[in-house]
Amino acid sequence: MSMSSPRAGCRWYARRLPLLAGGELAGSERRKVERHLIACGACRSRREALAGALGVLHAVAAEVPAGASDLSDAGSLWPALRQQIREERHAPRRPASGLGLDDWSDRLPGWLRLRPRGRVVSLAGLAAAAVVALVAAGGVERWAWWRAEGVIRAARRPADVPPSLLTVQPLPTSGPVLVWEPSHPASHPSSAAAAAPAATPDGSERVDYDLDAGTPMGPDARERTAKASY
Amino acid sequence: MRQGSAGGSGSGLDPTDGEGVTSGLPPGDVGAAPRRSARSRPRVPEEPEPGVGLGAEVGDARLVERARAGDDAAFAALVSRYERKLVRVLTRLVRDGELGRDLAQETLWRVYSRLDRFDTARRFGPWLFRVGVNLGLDWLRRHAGTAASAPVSIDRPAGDGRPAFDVADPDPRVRVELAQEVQFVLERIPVTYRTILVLRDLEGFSSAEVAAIVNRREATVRWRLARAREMFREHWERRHGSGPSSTPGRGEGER
Repeated sequence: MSMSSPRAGCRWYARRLPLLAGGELAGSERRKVERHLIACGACRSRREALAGALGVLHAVAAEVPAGASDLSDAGSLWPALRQQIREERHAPRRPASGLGLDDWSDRLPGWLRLRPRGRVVSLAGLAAAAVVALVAAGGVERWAWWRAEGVIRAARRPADVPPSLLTVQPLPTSGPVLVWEPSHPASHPSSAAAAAPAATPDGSERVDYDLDAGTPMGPDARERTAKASY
Repeated sequence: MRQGSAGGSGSGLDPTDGEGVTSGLPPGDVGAAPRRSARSRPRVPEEPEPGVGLGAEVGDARLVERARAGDDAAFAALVSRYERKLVRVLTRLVRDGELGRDLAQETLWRVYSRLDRFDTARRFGPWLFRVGVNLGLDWLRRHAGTAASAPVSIDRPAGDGRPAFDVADPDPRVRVELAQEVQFVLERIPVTYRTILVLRDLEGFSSAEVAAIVNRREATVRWRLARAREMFREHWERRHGSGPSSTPGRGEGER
């Protein structure tokens, strides 16, 4: 039986049936819906269908997700994590480059630095051009803000940076190393220099980095972070 | 079993109220399927606290405080409490076990790095899962349309005359097939709704916890959950019919 749309009189109740099926309905709302079900066979059928679907979900809930490597096979995450923590505590300060930009890039949050699975985009050769392009696009403000953030964080807690989730690659010059992992489609290394200015104040294509959560977020990020936080 | 009150205070998250966190299970005790009725929330059996020298009565807030003070064993205890569930949630989102583990480790690392900024008046669990879910969703966003994210389905075209899944079938092969099918159908649901469905109906978080994790008001989450369940039902029925009690054709009005 395919579910036909509820009649107008049933709509209020039909919308709540999924919640009734899952136990989220309570109090007077619940009583109203249950009273309606006494008289309405169509809604009863809908409720049964929903209960069936929920039953499927619950039956699967106990299964280890398809394709999952269960922890009991692969072991706890703690040993690797502990190693990461120790490495970070004992990580030697990287030697400062002539421009001091290596130090600055050290203070970037981990996701903005070199990543093993991500793309490493060395703008070393294009450093001057990139800076000019960013300045031209008004991006220097953001750059300076990043830098300020980094400095402030470093002042608060010098060993704040996550340890190498990745290996450090020696730079051919002392230029900055930017890892660009926006959810923007134009994130190829070849277009990185073009992407950098394009991603700034234009707005529509911009990727916001939610520094609090530390993840690059898509365009709906502003909506998310604007809500009252938990 | 508790019938959920709206946004109930019970949860799939708090280890100290014995409601069942999927962490600290002894090795080998995998996938124990508690009996449940079709209308109750999924429950995971109560589990013993991990043996890291910290008593079961030590709540998350205490552990967070100790971890901030440099007590690594305290953070290890937090990891123990939550890592299984974290890996499960992420694996369900990104559909790859190894990637789920990687993202879980990344999540734990970020959380560790941000302990000093964490407000202990908040609950640790929802915050942890919020970081994790964001990482998972972000991965999905970045890899939408790639081979890694393409759903794998059992070749089971609708209406081929075979009987619908017997949900109660204990045969492990059937259960695996069922799980795969559910995963396939979940892929058909937009990720916002899918996430809420995974958190609530597959992982047993309360509505309040889901709201905290996805950072939305609880009322919003409830409506999305209702929509998500309808979507799931619709897609499932399209693939598998609507069960042995269904009658062919459309029914309208009173029985």
